[in-house]
Amino acid sequence: MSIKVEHISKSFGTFKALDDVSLTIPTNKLVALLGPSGSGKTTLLRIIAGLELPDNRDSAIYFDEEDVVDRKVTDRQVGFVFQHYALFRHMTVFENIAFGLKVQPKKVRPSMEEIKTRVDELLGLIQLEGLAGRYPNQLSGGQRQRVALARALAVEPKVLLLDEPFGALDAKVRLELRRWLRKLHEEINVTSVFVTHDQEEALEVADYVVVMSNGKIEQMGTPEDVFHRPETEFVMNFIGQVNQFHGRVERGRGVFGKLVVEDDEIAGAENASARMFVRPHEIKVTSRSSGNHEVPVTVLHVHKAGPRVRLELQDDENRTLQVDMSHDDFLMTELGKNDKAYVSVQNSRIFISEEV
Amino acid sequence: MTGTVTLQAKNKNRSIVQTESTTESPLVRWLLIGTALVFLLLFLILPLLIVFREAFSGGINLFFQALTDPDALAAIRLTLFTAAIVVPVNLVFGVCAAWAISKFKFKGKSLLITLIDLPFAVSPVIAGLIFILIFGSRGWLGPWFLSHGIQIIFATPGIVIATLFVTFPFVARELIPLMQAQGTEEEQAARVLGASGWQTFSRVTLPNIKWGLIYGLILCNARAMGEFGAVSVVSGHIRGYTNTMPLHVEILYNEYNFTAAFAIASLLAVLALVTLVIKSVAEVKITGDQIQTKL
Repeated sequence: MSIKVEHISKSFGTFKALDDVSLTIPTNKLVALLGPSGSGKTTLLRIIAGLELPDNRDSAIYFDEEDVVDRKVTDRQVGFVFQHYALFRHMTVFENIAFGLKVQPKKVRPSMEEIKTRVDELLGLIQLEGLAGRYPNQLSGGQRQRVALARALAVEPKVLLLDEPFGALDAKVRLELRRWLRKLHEEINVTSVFVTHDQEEALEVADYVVVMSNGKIEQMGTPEDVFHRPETEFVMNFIGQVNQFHGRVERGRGVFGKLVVEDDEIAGAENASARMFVRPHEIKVTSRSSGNHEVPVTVLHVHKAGPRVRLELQDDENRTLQVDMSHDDFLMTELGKNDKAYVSVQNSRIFISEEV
Repeated sequence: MTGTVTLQAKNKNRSIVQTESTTESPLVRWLLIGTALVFLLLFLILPLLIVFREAFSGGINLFFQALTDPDALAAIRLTLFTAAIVVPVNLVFGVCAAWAISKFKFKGKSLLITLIDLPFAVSPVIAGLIFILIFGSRGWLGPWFLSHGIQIIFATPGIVIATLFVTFPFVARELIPLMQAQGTEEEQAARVLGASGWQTFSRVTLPNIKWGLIYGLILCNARAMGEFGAVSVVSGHIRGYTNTMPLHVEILYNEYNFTAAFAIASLLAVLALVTLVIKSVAEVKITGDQIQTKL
């Protein structure tokens, strides 16, 4: 089932959480809503679930072809997983998972045996077979989150919505659980949307990433798209580390202090102020000058603990640059702290401001 | 192996040192505990013992005679009748008010919380007088009710209304902090799973607040049966008709009928003791619920 939302706006008091958001989520894909806190991602998820209502009348939410915007949360048939699990504390794991089946109207409610079979099946899926009789407070965080997921899946929802599903877990469990979620999604094939502020999580798990800020969608695309081909400055800044330079475009060339860049993107542009973004791995560092478009720098710090060497450099305009490279490449440069070096930009993104 | 043992020994020493450094000397400790115990003995346990001793001072027959006296039976009946109305009404009101305050946002919420506390702040005698001014024969609504043949003041309805007034904070006060701590996520989860409003309340909310509710009802019941001030003002003290147990005790005492007075009083004391037991059980369970909330 695909999800399509159109023209959704939502305010809380004077705070605009969502500003005319439209979005299409393709069938059976796993999609991440990514953004900083206050970007509106959780509000959007809750509106899709029916836990919040959009402010405006012309908004629409389609599950496939059907507009569900006027349908109550109880009738939307979505599975929702809360950040803090929201398990029923006085019920066992079994009763928690069975809840959605037991509250169904008598006509459609499965028999007790059917419910038991279904719950056992789900317990197998979340790998907690032996813990059916436990209470939520006897489980670890990761186990609780899996129970919450099984509870949401029990009613065979058409859409699975997860609100910061791993937000309350520690780093190691988080990593395990998100890989498990990826695998689970391949098994059950339900259109799934999850909210996260962790870009690594979004890029690793999701088929598509929706980057949000200030109640608007900045970009939607595959993880490769948003990482390598960011469409806006916000996405460029938010995803991955980035060096930022302020300067101007003059006769088709980017001039950022002594750093001059030629780029097809700005070939036609005449005199405008601009900002250039360069990823740490897109800067080349050498100990000897080798040609044009190079800027002299001083090595401030060298961080070698990690899979790649990270350098902190300063040019003679007092700009600090972050660069990273492999350990082998670093050895080749023969550089150390306080040495002089030269940098050149291998790849960049330049955003031109509207000229005043 | 040795390492572990040393570590444990060290930890043990440390915890002892910490205890000693943060506690008082034995003398101060015993002084504090002793003062508290003497106070309890003098002002709580001794009076309670005297109530029972006086009640049985004329022998067991006189005790039962006092209890089966028609006026005493009428007083017991009226007290039970009042509690039987007041407690369920407070159950409904308390749950509704606590639900509204802890689960919804609306204007005038803080005003509602303040109003719920009003009966705690107002002297019961004043509360009684308020109802006389409203429902008395020269009061505001009294003449209208009287002309329709309904007497409120100096009759059972007045007693029920006055008791309702003084008892209505108990359940709500007990539930509000509990429900606020528990939040609304479980209810939201139930709704998403397709549960109706009633299913959500009966299967999720009610079990979560069960012990808090019982605790509130117990306190409410104790106050309803023991209320003196407000009821005294509106009752009119008509023997066999508008006397509750506390009022009956006072009348008997004023008539120097000490044995009978203490016999009825001992019934109220037993009620207090039972309340205390149920209350402490509920308290343990509530603490358990709150610990679960924090986890």
